[in-house]
Amino acid sequence: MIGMTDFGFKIHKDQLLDQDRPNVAYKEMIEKVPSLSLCISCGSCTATCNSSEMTGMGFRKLHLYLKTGLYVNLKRGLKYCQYCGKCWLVCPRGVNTRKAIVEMKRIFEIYKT
Amino acid sequence: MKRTEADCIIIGAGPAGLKAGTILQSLGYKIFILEKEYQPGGKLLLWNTLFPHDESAMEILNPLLKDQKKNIMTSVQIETITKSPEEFTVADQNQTIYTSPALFISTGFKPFNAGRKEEYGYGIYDNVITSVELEDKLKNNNITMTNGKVPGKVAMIHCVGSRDIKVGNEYCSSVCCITGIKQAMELGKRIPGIQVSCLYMDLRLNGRFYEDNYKMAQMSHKIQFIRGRLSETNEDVDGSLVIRYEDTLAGKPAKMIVDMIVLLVGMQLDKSVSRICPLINEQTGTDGFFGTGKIDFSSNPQKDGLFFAGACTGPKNITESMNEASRVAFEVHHFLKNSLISEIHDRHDRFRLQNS
Amino acid sequence: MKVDGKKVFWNEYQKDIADDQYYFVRSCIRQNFFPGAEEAFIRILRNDLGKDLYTDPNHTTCTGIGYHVDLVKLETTMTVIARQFSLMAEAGYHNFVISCVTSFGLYNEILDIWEKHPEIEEQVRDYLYRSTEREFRIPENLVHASDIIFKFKDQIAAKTRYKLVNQYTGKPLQVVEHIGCHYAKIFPEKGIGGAEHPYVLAGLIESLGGEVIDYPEKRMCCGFGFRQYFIKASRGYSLSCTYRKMKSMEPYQPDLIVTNCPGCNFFFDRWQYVISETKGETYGEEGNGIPVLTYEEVAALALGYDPWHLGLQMHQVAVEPLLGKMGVDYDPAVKYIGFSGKQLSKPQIPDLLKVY
Repeated sequence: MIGMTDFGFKIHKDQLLDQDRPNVAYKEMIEKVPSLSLCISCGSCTATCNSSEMTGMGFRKLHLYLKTGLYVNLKRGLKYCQYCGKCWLVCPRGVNTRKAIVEMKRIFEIYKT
Repeated sequence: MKRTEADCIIIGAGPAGLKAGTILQSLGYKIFILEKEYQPGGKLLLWNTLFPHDESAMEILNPLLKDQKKNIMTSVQIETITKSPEEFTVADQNQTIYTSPALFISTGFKPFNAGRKEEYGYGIYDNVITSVELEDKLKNNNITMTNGKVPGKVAMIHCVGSRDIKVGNEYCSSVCCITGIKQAMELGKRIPGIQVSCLYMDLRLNGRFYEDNYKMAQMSHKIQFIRGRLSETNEDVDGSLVIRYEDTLAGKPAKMIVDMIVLLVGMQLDKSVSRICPLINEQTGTDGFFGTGKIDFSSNPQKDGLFFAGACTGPKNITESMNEASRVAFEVHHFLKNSLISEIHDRHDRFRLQNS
Repeated sequence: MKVDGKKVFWNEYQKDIADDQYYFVRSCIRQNFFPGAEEAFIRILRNDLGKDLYTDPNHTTCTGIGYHVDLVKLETTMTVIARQFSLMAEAGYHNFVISCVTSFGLYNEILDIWEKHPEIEEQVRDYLYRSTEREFRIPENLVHASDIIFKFKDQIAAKTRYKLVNQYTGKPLQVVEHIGCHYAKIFPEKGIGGAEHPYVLAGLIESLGGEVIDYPEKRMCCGFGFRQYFIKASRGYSLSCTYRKMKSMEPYQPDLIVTNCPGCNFFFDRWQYVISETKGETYGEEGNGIPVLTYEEVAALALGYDPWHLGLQMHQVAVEPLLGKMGVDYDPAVKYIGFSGKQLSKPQIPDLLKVY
């Protein structure tokens, strides 16, 4: 019988990013917001973000969470956006951050209607 | 109206133009180098020392200038460039006409106008300067702020006007990273105790000995390298500059207070020639520089006697510019030789026809 | 600071603002927080400038707040905005004037979406027709109310009774101008002076004799930030943001804060009280706060409108120090007497922040 003996330790789940798992949300996002694929993680967006100072969150991280499939972190981070538009203004790659956030919210059903 | 003939007219007396001139002259061709500024030397004149070995810009420039002195025409404002099947005709503001079968364009680059990055505060805040302006300060050995004091803390901002869709320059200017490192070390040498930070997106140090410079900057001069891009500059009540960026490796938004910001401005094509000549303008590539940049030279526009070399075919350092100029000078040589041969053949044919 | 440097940007960002015949849409929150502000705008336009301004009792919210906190879907917002446009057409106007900055940003965003995706506009036409049997026409000119005050700033300045000049010292008042995020950050070309160095309020302040302060946190959000405020768990972020800004402007000793956004105005005003209670800090002279006014309130004060008729008693930070400096002739005794002549209830007096 499994679980009969308590060794005081167990087999853990690893912390690897599983890049083999299909990232459906990212695929959908790249289709909806093609400019997203231009991101080079320069961090201009976060540096200028109104809410990053308090929350440590910023568009660069949201994009990274989406790309790496860390959806739980992504959902948490999405909450902080105020739609002020500053990240869109400073992005040197022309990523439509505003649309990307709206679309991510749609995908993760943050809109309750 | 004065009319002068040559084998090749070179437009632009920067390192590329001068190098090509030297080679073509040594091959026995008659050349002219037309320069719009009153002093020849191109952007080398703006520089004090050159990476990666701290060579003096003047020491690189002087032998080239000495060699080409009699061929250079300065303060030439070209008004028209036209082409007939046989030759190019260039006319300047004094109605002087230059003609030649080959035209060599080495018009170089223009530093990016940093004022276009509004959020960086260039032209608004004191002590936000460009790498060109810093080099001038280094040259005059007078590294001071507007209040006359020596800066204690400096931030070097990489990629200003490069890899930036918003300003229309999507390419990497390739020399700014190493320029930043060179200048940062120079500041370290001249001002004891100065703190210099380089804010980069990606460090692109792709030349020989560049990595050595990077290591030296870290080891000997304690230059701080921060992976983050400037998003906002503001001035504090005491005149110091508050900058905002994200330390993307730490994953946290950050601010820093500095005395001076150096914007490492990228390169843009100097359009003064392409603006007046559609034939040349046609050769502009998708990135705004001349030519296609392909490995296969035969697809390059260097045919029909029109040749391009130097920073006008894409961002380059001095070595690369002069190397390209040398290669293209030999292409000019082939072109001139072939046209000479075909001319001799033509004459021979005519002679035979007359005598048959 | 090089003031001339900013003028370069100001010249670059100009926009068309209609001359007359405006259809005015109000802000949801302004009428509750500062009921006199919109009234002042209407009176200045109609009485002082002789313009035709139509206010429509049938228009609704633009749903901006709901949209920004993920309660209202974009499709709903677009349909609501389409309805406002249909009301404008019905009233016989072409020029749309928006009182609220967030509405302004949202209208512009939706017009941008429709321009890029005509199929979405068609769909919204269908939604609107099916829900209300209405049809709409896109306005010929769509501006924010502060744009109009900016357009006529010199006309207003010519009629003023008071200037933004300290009558005790003769020096210009030191003014902080704060622009709502949605005014130009989304579409810099839609804002006078662009997004980084806007001129819409600075121009008005200069015309009225004041001097604009440039402080390090100038471009940062006021702190409102929709989600930051509306969700109580993150309301501290809103307060912290305003606190940061107040600390940043404090060394410049501002006499006045002027904003063009309903939220900014409210939060600069109310959070000063909360900061005084939580941190024990006030930022004006002798325990006073820094008065916060909207652009119309400033213009109206300068034109000689009675401060109590403007509803300035509805500001939590007392405006009396400003009225004193400007030399405004007013009766302190009638501050809390309403239009009907009845005594209004007086506010409680906090321990730290001075209230009169």
